Amino acid sequence: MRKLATFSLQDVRQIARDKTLKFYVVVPFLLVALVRYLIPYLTEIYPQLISSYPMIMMFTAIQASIMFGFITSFLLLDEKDEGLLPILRVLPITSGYFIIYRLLLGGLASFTMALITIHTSGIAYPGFYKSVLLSIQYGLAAPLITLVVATFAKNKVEGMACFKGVDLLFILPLLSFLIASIPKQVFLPLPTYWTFRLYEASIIGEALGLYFWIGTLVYLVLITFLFGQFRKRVFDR
Amino acid sequence: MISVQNLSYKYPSADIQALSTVDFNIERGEIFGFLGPNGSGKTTTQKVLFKLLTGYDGQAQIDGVEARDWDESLYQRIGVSFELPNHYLKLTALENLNFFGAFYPRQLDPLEVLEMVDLKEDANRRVADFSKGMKMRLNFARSFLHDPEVLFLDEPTSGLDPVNAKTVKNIILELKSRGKTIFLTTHQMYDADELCDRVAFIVEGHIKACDAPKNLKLKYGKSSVEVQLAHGSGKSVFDIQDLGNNVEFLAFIKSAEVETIHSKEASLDDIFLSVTGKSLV
Ligand SMILES: Nc1ncnc2c1ncn2[C@@H]1O[C@H](COP(=O)(O)OP(=O)(O)O)[C@@H](O)[C@H]1O
Ligand SMILES: [Mg+2]
Repeated sequence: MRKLATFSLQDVRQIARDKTLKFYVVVPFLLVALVRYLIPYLTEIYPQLISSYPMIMMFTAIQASIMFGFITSFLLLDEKDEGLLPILRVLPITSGYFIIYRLLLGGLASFTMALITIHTSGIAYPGFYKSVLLSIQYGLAAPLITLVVATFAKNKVEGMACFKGVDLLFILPLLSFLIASIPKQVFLPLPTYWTFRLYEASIIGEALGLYFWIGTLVYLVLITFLFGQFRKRVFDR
Repeated sequence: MISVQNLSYKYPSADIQALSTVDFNIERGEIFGFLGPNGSGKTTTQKVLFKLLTGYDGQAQIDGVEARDWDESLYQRIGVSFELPNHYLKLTALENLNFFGAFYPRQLDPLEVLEMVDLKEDANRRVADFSKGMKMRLNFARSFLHDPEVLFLDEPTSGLDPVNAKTVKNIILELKSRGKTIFLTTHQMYDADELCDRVAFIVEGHIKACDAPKNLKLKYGKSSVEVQLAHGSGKSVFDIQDLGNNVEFLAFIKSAEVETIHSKEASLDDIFLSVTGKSLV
């Protein structure tokens, strides 16, 4: 517990003293505010926008929640840059404790942010129970993005590019709602496809089980694989 | 305290062995040094011992337990100072020490430790504003903050000016006087000479000699006398052994007026060169 508190305090300090990271903490809230106040106004002008509410929320929730994945990945990149990973490995803590802590932190922050987003944006609200299920998947997107960036980016510039690349892959499945002619199979390996389907199903009142369980499984498989890659390529070297 | 036998290690990405059949022992309370040029395997040996590198062949034991069998409790008993500075740059020196100290059951007073390495005035400055030498001293300070029994110091004086190097060396000697076992690496013979109870000469992953600096000098070093004759009549070097019976020497000093005579002690540098065939720099 004490170690957890030490790590969290450390991360809060790191974020508070970094202009970029501080900015990225605020971004998700700006996004939520934008949806909450701009969309009703736009809807008055273009009433047909109502049919796009679920899609707007699918997009907003993923953008808001992965910011915390981005922040944790930058904390890790900083530590990688400054040669801190070896010193963290000679601390008297179980190997892996530190990475798992980081991933949980990002995941928990993203989960909370997704919940806040779905509740306060004021559109396409699926109810509390369903929004928790959705937020679990949105929360899992953060550790995924953290691991990709921290494993494959050599520095922050590459980290930014990597983040944008993964972000693009994450929002790509939205196309399946827009262009019916693209075969659905293309999107199946992308975990957000399942999250977006889950969102759609919870709005139109379909059964959620399939999308929730398969989606969660896809997230967990990818996270497990990338966790191994991160340890092999970065942490244990 | 530390026992290494037949240790070999190859980096997965390399085609040659970084260490081959390395043997040495470090007694409790001893300062043991690895002296060798860059790339000779000093850092690699230390990293094997504290488990940053796995998959070695041979034996590498700390306190009778093989490195691979130690769990994380090893890290309460050892302190590590890495070759390159690694700190949270956005935090102050004191915040850095407080952070790392929080992982141990007991620690020294961080401010006192900072005072020892002459960083007390800078305790509340961010490490990003530190010079390389200051960061190195902070590395060193962190290694003994939790009062470990064994210290691994990788090039503890590199990048330090003579005054700060002296400070660090004095602390190392003080840690020894408090019973700590210290394994340090260096490529500077003065450090090895001043600090180490025993040094090992390491070249290309292999130990070529291992003994007290004094014994190495006795065994391999020849002290000599350099004679300079006046008016440019010549200069010559003679072995100091049995000098009074050295006919050539006696003839030489009679041949012209002597301007200077200097005796020269063999330095560890010279001995290193003659034992290993490699120069230290
Ligand atoms: N991460 C690594 N991957 C591959 N080879 C390495 C790595 N680190 C060091 N080496 C090689 O291992 C040898 C020993 O290196 P090292 O132990 O760092 O030497 P020293 O500390 O004495 O300068 C060198 O030939 C070096 O090039
Ligand atoms: Mg080295």
